[in-house]
Amino acid sequence: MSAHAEALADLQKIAVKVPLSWPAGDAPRRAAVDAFIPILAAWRDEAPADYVDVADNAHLSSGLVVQLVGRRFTVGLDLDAPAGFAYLHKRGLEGTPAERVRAVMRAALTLAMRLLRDPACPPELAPAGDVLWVGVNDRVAFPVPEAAEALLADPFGALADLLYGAGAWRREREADPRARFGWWLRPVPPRIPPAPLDALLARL
Amino acid sequence: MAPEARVDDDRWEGASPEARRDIEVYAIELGRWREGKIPDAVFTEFRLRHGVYGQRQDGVQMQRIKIPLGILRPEQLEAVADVAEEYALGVAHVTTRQDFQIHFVDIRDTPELHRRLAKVGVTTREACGNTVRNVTGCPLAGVCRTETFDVTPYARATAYFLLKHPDAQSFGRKFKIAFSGCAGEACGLALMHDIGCVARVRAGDGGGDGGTRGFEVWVGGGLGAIPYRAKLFSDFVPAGELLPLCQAIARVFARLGEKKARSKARMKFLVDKLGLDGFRALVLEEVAKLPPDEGWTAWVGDADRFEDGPLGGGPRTPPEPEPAGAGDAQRFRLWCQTSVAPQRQPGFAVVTVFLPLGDISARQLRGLADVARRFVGDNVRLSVTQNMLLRWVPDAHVAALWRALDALGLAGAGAHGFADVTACPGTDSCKLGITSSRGLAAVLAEDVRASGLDRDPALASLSVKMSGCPNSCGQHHIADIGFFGSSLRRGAAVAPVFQLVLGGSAAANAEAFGLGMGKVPAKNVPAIVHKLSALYLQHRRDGERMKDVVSRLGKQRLKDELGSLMELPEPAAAPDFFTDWRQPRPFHLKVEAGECAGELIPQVEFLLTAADRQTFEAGLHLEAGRLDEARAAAFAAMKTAADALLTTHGLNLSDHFDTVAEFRPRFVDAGLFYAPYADYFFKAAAATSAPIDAEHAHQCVEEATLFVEEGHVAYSRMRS
Repeated sequence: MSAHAEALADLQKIAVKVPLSWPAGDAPRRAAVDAFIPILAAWRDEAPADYVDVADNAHLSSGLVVQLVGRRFTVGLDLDAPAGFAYLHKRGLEGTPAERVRAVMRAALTLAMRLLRDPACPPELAPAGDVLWVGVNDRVAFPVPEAAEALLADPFGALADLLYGAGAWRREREADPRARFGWWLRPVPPRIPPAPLDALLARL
Repeated sequence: MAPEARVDDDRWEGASPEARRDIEVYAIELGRWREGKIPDAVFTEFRLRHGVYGQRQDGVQMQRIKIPLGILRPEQLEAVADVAEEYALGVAHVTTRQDFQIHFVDIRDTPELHRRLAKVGVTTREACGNTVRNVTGCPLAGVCRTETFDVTPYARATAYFLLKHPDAQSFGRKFKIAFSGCAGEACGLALMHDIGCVARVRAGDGGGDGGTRGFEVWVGGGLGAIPYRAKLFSDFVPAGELLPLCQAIARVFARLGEKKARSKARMKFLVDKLGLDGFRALVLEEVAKLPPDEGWTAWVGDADRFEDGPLGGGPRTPPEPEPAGAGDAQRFRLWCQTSVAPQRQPGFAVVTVFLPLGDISARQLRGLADVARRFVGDNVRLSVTQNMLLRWVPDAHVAALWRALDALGLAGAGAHGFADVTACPGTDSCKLGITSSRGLAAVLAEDVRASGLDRDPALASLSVKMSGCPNSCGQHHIADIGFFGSSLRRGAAVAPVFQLVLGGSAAANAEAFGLGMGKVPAKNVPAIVHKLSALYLQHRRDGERMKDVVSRLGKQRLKDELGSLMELPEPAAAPDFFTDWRQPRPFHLKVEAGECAGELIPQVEFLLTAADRQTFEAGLHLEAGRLDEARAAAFAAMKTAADALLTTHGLNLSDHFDTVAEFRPRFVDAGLFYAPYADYFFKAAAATSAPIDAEHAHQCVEEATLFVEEGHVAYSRMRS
C-alpha cells in the first residue's frame, strides 16, 4: 500500500466549518465571541473525560478564537473568513474514508446546532447561506493539494451527494496552496431559503 | 503507523543529520516511556530538553520552539503556522524570551512536529529543562541607532556553541544568556540574566575599525520570585574570548550550583554565595584549564553571513501613497507613531507588528511570511516584548506595508505602549499559575485602549506586565506597573488577587526592580491602573518616570491613595470578586509542581537511561541486518554507561578523558563493577572495524545489554 493510500485508509484529521452570520461592529462581535466561553465551558463540565479545556484567544482577530479542546476532536469559533463554527477531528475514527467523512460532518452539524440552540447563544448568529467546508488538517498525509484532491475526491464527493443530491453541488478550493486542503460545498442551483442544518443532518 | 514511528521515512529533506538523529532518539525514548520502560521523572527531564512541557491540563503539552535571537525566515514562519494549526490551537505565542510556544499538543504528535520544524532549520532542543535556554538579544541589533555594534553574530555563536554542549548538561536549574548592543536601552534586558553581555569597543588595541570589539559581562542576574540584578564580572571581555568564558561559567555552575533545593539552584544564588570575587576567581581558573576548542572561534568566518540588509532588488511591490480617508489616515498615523522607527541606515524603517498578548494565528503567520517576502526578505525577528519586527522596510514602502498588515488584522497601533500588556500564560495552561494573568491582561489592554489612556502622550510609554504567580515569567519586576498572582481567602471563598509591584524599569537593560505594594483584588486591577495613571500625571515632574514618582511618594502614601481599591469585599457583597477574569467558573486554587526547571535528574541517571536507549537501538539495527551499526551502537551504549558512572567521580564527557583508562581503576579494579562484564567493554574498545558477521553482532548487543545492566546495578550499590 502506498503512503498516500495508507494515509487515506487511516483518515482521521477531518475538519468541517459551518459558516455563521455575525453581528456587525467590533463590540457586538466581541460580545458574541465572549458568549461562547460559558457555553463551551458547560460542555466541558458535562463530559470531562471527552474534553480537555476551553482555550480563550478572543483577543485575536483571526483564527480559532474560542475553542473547546477535546481528546478526539476540538470545536471552536473560527474568525477567518467566512467566520463560523469549526470542528476538527483528531483520532478514533473507523470505517471507510467515506464513512469517516460522513461521521465527522454529522458530528459537526449536531454540535453546531446544539451551539446555536443554546439559550446563551447570541440570537443574531445563524448559518450563513447554504455552504459548508470539509477538509483535512494534515499536511503530512496530504502534502500536495493535487494529490489530496485525487485521494479525497471520492469520500468528499460522496458526502456532497448525500447533502445536496447526486451531482447537485459545486466545490471550490482555497486559493492559497498553503492552506489546509478542503472543499467549500454549495448546492446547485442555490436553494432559497437555504436548507436548515437539521435538514442537512437528516440526509446523513 | 503511529506518528512516533515515522522517524525512518523519506520526509527529512532539509533537516540536518544531527537534528534528524536527535529526533529519532526522542521518538525512541517517547516510545519506551509509553511502554513503561523509562521512569516518568527521567523522561520528563528528557522531553523538557526537547521543549515539551507539561500543561496544567492533563494529557496535553506545551511545545516551546527555540528561536535564537528571535531571528526567523519566512518559510520558518510558515512551518510554525502549519504545526500550530495541525497539532495545537492554530495560534502561536511569542514569549518574553523570543521563543514560540504552542499549546494543547498531544505528546504522540511531538516527533512529527519536531521533524517538520527541523526541515526548515528550527529546533526545540533545550528550549526547556535544566539547560542553556534560548539566547536572546536586542531585536534591533544591526539597525539600531544607539548600538555600539551588531551583537547578532556573537549571540548566535554563543547560542549554537552551547547548544547540547557537554558542559551544559548537568545544571541544577535553567541558565539564561542575553545580549545587548548598548547600555542605555531596554531591548536586551542583559542585567536580568545569568550571563548578560553588553557590547563595548575598547580603543587602542589595534583592533581596527575604531578599536577591539568585546563585551561588558554581567553575571548572576535573574527575576523569579526574588529578583537579582546581575553583577559586573568584567568591564571588557574581547569578543574572541567570550565563548571560553561562557563555557567556564557553565562548568562552575554545573559543578558548584545547588542541585537539591530547586528554589536556590539558579546561578544568581551561587554568585551570591561565593561573592563576585570568589566566583570570578573560580571561573578564571576554569578558563585556564579548558582544553582548546576550535568551536571558540569557528564562528568568526561565519559572522558576515548574519549581517542583514535590504531585500535584494528592493520590495516586490511598488510604493503606495499614505491613506487619505479620515479613518484610515488616523489609524495609519497612530500606527506610525508606535510601530515605525527609523533605522540607523538612512531611508529604512523598522516596523513592529503588534501582537496582542504575544499571540498570532496560523493564517496571520502565513500572511506575515508573504509580507516578509514582499518587503524585507529574511529580516523578521521576535522581540522580548512579545511582538514581531520587520526590518529594512524602505521608507517609501511603509504605507504599502501597513495596508498589507491591515489586511491580515496585524496593523494595530500600540506596540511598546500602555496597552501592550505583557503576560505569562497563567492559569490558561501553566501548572504553577494561581491567577488568570492572560484574562486580566486582555481585559486591561481593552480597557486602556477604550478609555484612551494609551493615547495620552505622558502615559503612552508606561509598561504593564503581569505574571500568574510569583515566578515572574511575565517580568512584572521590571514594569512601571507590575502584578503577580496570588489568592486570598474569605471564609469558605477564595478570591483571585494580585500583588502590585510599582516602579520597575526595563530601561538600561533592566535597571530597576519594582516595589511591592501589597495585594489587590483581581477585579479592581483596571480601576487601580486608572488611579495610578492619574497619580502619575498629578505628581510627576519634568522627565520623571513612574519609578521616580513611586520613589518620591513612597509606599505608604501610594497605599493610602489607592485606599479601598486594595480591599477585598465579602463574598456575599461582591461574589464577582471571587471569580477570575474571563473564567466561567468560581475561582479555585490549584497549583501543581512546575516543570520550569524539570526535576533534577543526576547526570549519571540521565546517561544510564541514554545507554538503555542505545542498547535498544543496537537491537533494532541487528534486527534489520545492519550489523556494523549494531556493533557501533552496542559499543556506544557501553561507553555511555561507563561515562555515566564516571560522572559520579566528577569526570564529565567534555573533559575528553579516556573512558577505558579511567573506568578500569576506578570501578573494575576497585571492585565496584563486575569484571567479566567490564571486559566486554574493554574488548570492544580494542576491536578493529573489520566487517562483522551476524553471530558476532548479536554477541556484541548481548554484551552491551549485560554491561549497561551492570551499570545500573553498580550505581544502585553506590547509592545504598
